[in-house]
Amino acid sequence: VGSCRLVWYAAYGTALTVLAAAGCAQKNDYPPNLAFPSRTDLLVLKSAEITPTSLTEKQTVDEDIARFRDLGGKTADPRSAPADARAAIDALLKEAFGAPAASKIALPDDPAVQHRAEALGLTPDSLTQGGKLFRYHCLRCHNITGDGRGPAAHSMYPFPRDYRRGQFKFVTSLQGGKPRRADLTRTLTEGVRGTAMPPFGLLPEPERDLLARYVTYLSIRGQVEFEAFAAVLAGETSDPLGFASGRVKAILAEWEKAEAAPTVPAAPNDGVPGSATHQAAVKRGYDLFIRKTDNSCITCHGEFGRKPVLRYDVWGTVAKPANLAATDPIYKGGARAEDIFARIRGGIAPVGMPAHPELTERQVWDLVRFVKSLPNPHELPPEIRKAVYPEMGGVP
Amino acid sequence: MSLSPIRPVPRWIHVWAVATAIATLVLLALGQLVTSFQAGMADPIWPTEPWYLLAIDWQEPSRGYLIEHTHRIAAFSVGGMVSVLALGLFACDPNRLSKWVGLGAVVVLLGGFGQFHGGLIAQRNIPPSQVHLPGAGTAVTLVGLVATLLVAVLGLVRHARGSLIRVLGAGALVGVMVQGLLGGFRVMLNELVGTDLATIHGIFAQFVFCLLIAIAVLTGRAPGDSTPSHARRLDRGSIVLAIVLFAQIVLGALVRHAPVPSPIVLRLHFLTAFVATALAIWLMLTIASDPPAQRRVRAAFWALGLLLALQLVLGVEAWMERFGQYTLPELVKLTTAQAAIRTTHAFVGSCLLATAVLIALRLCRPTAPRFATSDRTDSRWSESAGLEGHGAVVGSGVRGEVP
Repeated sequence: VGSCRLVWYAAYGTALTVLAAAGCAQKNDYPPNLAFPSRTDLLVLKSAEITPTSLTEKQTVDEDIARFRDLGGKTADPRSAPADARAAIDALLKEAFGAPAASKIALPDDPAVQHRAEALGLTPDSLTQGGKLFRYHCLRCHNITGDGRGPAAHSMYPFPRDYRRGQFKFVTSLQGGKPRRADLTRTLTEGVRGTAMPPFGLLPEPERDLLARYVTYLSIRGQVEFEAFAAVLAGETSDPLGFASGRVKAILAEWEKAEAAPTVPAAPNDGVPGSATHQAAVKRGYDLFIRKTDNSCITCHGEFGRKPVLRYDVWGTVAKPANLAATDPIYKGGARAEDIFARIRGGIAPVGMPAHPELTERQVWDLVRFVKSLPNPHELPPEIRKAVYPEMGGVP
Repeated sequence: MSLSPIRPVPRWIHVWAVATAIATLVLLALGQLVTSFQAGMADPIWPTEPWYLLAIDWQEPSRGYLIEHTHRIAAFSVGGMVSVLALGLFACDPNRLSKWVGLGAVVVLLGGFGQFHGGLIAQRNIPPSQVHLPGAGTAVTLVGLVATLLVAVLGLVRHARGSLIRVLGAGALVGVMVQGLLGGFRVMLNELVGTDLATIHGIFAQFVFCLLIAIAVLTGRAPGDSTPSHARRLDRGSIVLAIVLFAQIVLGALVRHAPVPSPIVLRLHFLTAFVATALAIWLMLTIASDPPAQRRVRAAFWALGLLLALQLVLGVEAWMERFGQYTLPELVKLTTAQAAIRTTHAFVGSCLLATAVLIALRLCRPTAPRFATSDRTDSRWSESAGLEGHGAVVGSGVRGEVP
């Protein structure tokens, strides 16, 4: 009886302890005295000029970037900035963007900046809430400043996005500029297939929106920091404070412009895949895809993506054009026709995929029809099927 | 002619059970590596086939991706081993009807679970919010599950020989399935439950591991020597030590998985280490003063001491490198050495728990009835099934008999 009682007491005590510990509310508040760390990694001003032969290993990404100078690229080291300039930049960043526990976008000498930021939804309250969510869901990969070098990032490839360049790959503003908030929310909702970025579609929509706002905030802050250091190190300014203040306003304007940009137009009715009108569109798209021009699709998506041409992106890592002829192609920016339209029309500027403003809307849709039909040989006209899948000899 | 303690099941099942427990320990180590490298979401796609790595572009996989998929492959292997173990345990049910119904139930359970898994694989490329649970697979799995547990428990009610091991085997099979689902849903429902489910996955793994250790111990020969002098104290002490170590692992899992560990958990994990150490030392001293008890645990006794000393050192190192830095714990840059320390700390914790469970079972297990045989290795389990009234049985359970 005694041993049973003892065991029960032990079990009871353990259960209570575990319950007390597990039920303890987790606070995601940042410590009030925690500041964003000052940037110490190299600024990639121009990627290496060589054509990479293999994908970047994340563990050596910073070492790869350090070699860029010898390979025709251009980098700058923020740690080599004069102490007073560095202090001025850090002070401006703290004043304009606050700290993780109290995020904001405001310039003391220009109240309009705060109003403009709030018009974009970047209010101090939403940023503080978004920051807590970011700490819980995103920080392990994207890190506290959004540099994509979180503790978990070193074991992932492709590496998590570094927001501090102010550039994003999957935007629908069709001008290769900033993303809309809806673009960021879509990436959050659907994830990025083929990468470790998971979908967050089960999170309540308001929380995803708060996360997108916080990502925007980190991006603006990081870009101001990047450009201020780049200007100081290039000797382009002797007033880093004034320069950085000016960049805050200019970058905000870019985000405002993206929100106001035209959206992806409605798709024309080309019929179902395999129909005559659809096959005609596919044929026109194929001709555009393989045309002999400098920025044609086939230049990078060699053999329709089976033999891609690797290149360095703005972050200093290697980008690989998608294999569009794969059985189940990975469209990282989304597989819907409008997603592919946005990629073709606006390009993917950070990885060097050019925009195609010279094409008519009809031509872009033709390319979309071809790209969407490419993995499905039975949707291609016989002569194109033979060209894309020579081993099939045009037979479906 | 010598007297040999009887076996409750054929020897191959015991060997298989030990192999399964060892394989599970490897699986745990891989899982702990995944946590240390924070690679649980290195591949957000789940479920995947065991041969998934063969079908990917080998230019791209990162270290985290490979670790995570190695963990998944190991999990498939352990799942298969536990399935064979469960089938083997039901196959040695002395009651013919119960045996075949039990085997049928396990087969239905495995078939249903395979169907369920296949149904999820078919939906792996669509957003989790649009995934539907495969209805037919779920129904068949539930039918198999209920039937398996029912047969196992009915055997226990009938006091059939080996029924307790069959209940444990059924529990381990169901446990390993649940564990697989917990791991998968941790990936699939990351945005909703994130590392919380990873924590539960990590804790439940230890529970399933304990079940497999218990099966490995109980399928072996029961101790044939005399009862320890301090039997009651040792029984209680060893059970309490196993419980405290399990609680410590629960706290450790909360510390390891939570993005922002709760301050209470941090303190409890620290304090429980002292309690566990004190208990382990007390238990070792008590065993050392009791030769029959020492004979029962032998290697486990020394393993407990060595593992305890190692664990204390690893715990201090792991704590210092994570919480002794001038930054938030979740921002500490992970080096390979740090990951190795964290993983080894978690792994040695599992080994300690396994040792404690093994000691508790060895100490609490009743002394076996003996069966006369000229060759100790030729003691056939099937004869033990009909031991009641057997002329060669020279002793019965001193402290009651495990069914």
